Amino acid sequence: MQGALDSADFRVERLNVIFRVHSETLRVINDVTIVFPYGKTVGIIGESGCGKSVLGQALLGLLPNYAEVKGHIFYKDMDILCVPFSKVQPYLGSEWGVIPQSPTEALNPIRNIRKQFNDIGKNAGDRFFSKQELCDILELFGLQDGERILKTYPHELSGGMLQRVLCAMAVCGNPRWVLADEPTKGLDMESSACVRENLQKLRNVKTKSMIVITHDLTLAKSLCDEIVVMYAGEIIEVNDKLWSEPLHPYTQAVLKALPENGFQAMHGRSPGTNILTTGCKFASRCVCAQEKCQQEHPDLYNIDVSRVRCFLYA
Amino acid sequence: MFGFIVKRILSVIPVLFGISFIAFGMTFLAPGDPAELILDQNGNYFPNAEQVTVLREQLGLNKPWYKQYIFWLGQVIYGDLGTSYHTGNTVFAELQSHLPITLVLAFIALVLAGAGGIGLGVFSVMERGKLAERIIQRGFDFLLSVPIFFMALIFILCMSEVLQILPSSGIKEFDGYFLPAVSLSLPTMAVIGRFTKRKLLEELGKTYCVVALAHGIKERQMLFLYVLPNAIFPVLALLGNFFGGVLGGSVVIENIFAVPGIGSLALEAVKFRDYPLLQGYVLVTGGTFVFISLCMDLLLCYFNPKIKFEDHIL
Amino acid sequence: MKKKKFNDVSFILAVFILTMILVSGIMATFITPYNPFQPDMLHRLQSPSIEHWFGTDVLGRDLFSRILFGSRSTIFLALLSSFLPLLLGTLIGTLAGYYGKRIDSFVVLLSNVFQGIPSTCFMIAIVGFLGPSLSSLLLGFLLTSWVGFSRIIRAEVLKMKEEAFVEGLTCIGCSDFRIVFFHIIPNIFNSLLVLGTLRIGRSILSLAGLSFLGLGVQPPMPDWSVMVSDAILYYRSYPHLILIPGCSIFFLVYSINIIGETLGDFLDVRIDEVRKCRGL
Repeated sequence: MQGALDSADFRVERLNVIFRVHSETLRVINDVTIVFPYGKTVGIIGESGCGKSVLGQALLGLLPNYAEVKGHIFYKDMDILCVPFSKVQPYLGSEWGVIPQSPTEALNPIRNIRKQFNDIGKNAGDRFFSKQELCDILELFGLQDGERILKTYPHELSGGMLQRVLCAMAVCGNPRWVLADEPTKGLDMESSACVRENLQKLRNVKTKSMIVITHDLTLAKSLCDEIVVMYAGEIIEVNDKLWSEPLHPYTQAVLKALPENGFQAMHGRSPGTNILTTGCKFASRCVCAQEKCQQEHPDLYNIDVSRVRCFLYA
Repeated sequence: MFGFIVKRILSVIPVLFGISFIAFGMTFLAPGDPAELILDQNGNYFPNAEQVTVLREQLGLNKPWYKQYIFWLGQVIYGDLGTSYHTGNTVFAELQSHLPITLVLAFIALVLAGAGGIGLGVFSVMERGKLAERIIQRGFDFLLSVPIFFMALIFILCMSEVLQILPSSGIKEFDGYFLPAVSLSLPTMAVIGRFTKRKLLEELGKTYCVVALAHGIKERQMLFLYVLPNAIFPVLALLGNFFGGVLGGSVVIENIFAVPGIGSLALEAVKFRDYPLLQGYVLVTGGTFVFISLCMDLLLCYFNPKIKFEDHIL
Repeated sequence: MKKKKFNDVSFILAVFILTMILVSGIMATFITPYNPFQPDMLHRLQSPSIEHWFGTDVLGRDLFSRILFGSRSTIFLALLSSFLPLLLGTLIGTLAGYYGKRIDSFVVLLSNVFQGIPSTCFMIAIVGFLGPSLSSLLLGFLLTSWVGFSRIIRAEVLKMKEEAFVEGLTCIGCSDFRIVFFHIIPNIFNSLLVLGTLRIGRSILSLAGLSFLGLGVQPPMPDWSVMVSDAILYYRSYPHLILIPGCSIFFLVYSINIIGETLGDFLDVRIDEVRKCRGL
């Protein structure tokens, strides 16, 4: 599963992220260690507030000013968290492509689409995209009248079309990695299906190295080779056969809650980021919980090629 | 958008009527009988009751106030603003000779304030966190706490006495406008500067700017091509609003620098209790400000792509 | 920008300076070393020295005493100029916002008209018609500055009106008066406080400008702005004549601004500087 450790992997080691806002301390990411191998599509799933988006931001060096960081993120023997932003900046748009959330707010309202493509190109090795090149990429994602679209402004396009444009923007620099942040957030079934299609295409044609952050399980299932489950700022499961053999009680409960599996809801709520707990963070809601779970904090245990943070597998 | 323009132009009319009503109504504030006052001004210091009554009848002072207003308004529309008590010229002539000077002064001051304010605002965002930003911030706070006459006098002290350059009074050639215009522009420059900075930082926090960063667009490029064009319209709107403040501030400046504009005219009118001149002053300053505000609004509307866009969506 | 806190050096200094000015104004009669009204032609135009801490003016009057006395008119004007327009503006703004429709349209028109005449120009005209005095200056100021408060209060009240609790109160039969005074106004109190404090500085400067022109406090009453204009023929040779009163005004306004901003940061209130809402 790991393959040869290509240096174009993202290697996260003992990442801790704390936000200090309004005199509160929010522990957003706790001691995360994981490798995202080059050539694989990894999905990060979890509830809102579990820290998955922040992890995505950290990977690209885009954490906000009020974030306090500890740990390392290595990419090609550069520690993203230790170098100044100017060293990270050249990778954005050229080696790393991003598909952001909220397509309707993600683009500059007063610059037309073609100029925005060229802005990206300028920074991805001073490239200038010809109209044909751009139309080709747009066609890849199902936008046939590329010429017209290039002249438009963001507000003139629908959410779905913008989403496709954003996919195109993510890959126009021929990146080695694409990070998709909640691509189906707030979309209906039909639009979500379109997005799934786009991302499949992206994966087949442009790059296989993707990180998809989502809470849309259908998307994760159809797209990803391996799934990382996050809960309360921690990784609690890494599994490539998540759908058939979920390991962690949380994952099992999540799958049981799906409509096709019976819609059995979990009780309780995930702990807030400003609360310090001893022991397993899921213990208060876990059906398999034992006394040990409340007192000791489990590590990530290896089961074959998967990993689980649960004493059941210790 | 056309509807908006028409609406905006039409909204000016009741405001102008209102201003004229105030200009008319202010005479009722004055103590004493206006007829007596006129006789007094013309050298007849102890008019008897008969002379007063005759003059009152002549001036139509015994009619009800609304009839007087309509009569007065009618004359104003034809350009007859009355005769100045103390110079004997028509109010119209006095205003005509003094207004252009003030307008030039105000215009130069406004342009300086806008250019300086926006420039300093952009610069302090570029130098965020560094010493330059803090110096500029202190400078703004300083400028907003100094009375304008004090600042002008200090200016004169520095420029004329210490450095021995530039004349300090009178307007003969163009450089006679320089010191007054700069002094007049400084407080507005500080307000515009602070507001620009705030708006720029506001835009930088928006989604499309974070996405642009993620696409690899360099910060400086982003500032000038993405942030500034979006942030500048409220700034320019505020600048237009400050034309009124500049018109008002020019009174003090004209007094200190001995500039023969309408500010000086108004002060003389106060000294000599020249009511027709004061009425004319109110009409002219009010009318000018309303007109300039209208032009500013329409210009911004025309150039602001966002307003054109909102129309589309509507 | 760094948020200002109550334990910042600048805040403490600002409070100190403000207190000093207030105290000197109140205690002026007791602490002035010389009579501020008494000319003394033998000692005119002296630079600051041990006998005269701030020097003397063109008539030989001790500048220090005059500054102490002058703070009275400044404080008086400052208090009234912040209080009165706030009151009037709040009243009108609340009525407009709460009752809406025709009252609101009328108030908006009134606001546009009053703001259409630049405030300094309007004040000069009012003073011109009433005759220069402290009271006519204040009246002029009141007439021009109520609009600024009224607009912002109206916006806040409009927002408040949409809140669910207002509907609830109307349902239980609460009278309009009660709703406005006991429920809406307390909720906008924070904004009012910060708005008022931030406006004081600007008001003082505006009134100072007009006093400088001779339209406010009349001699022989000492007033900082008038002291500057008195020195207009001499300041180039004797800069202390304008530096001292000018800096006094500056320190007062600067301190008030710092206090206002710290208060605003504390109460987490943001007041927008755009003065003219389009009223659309």
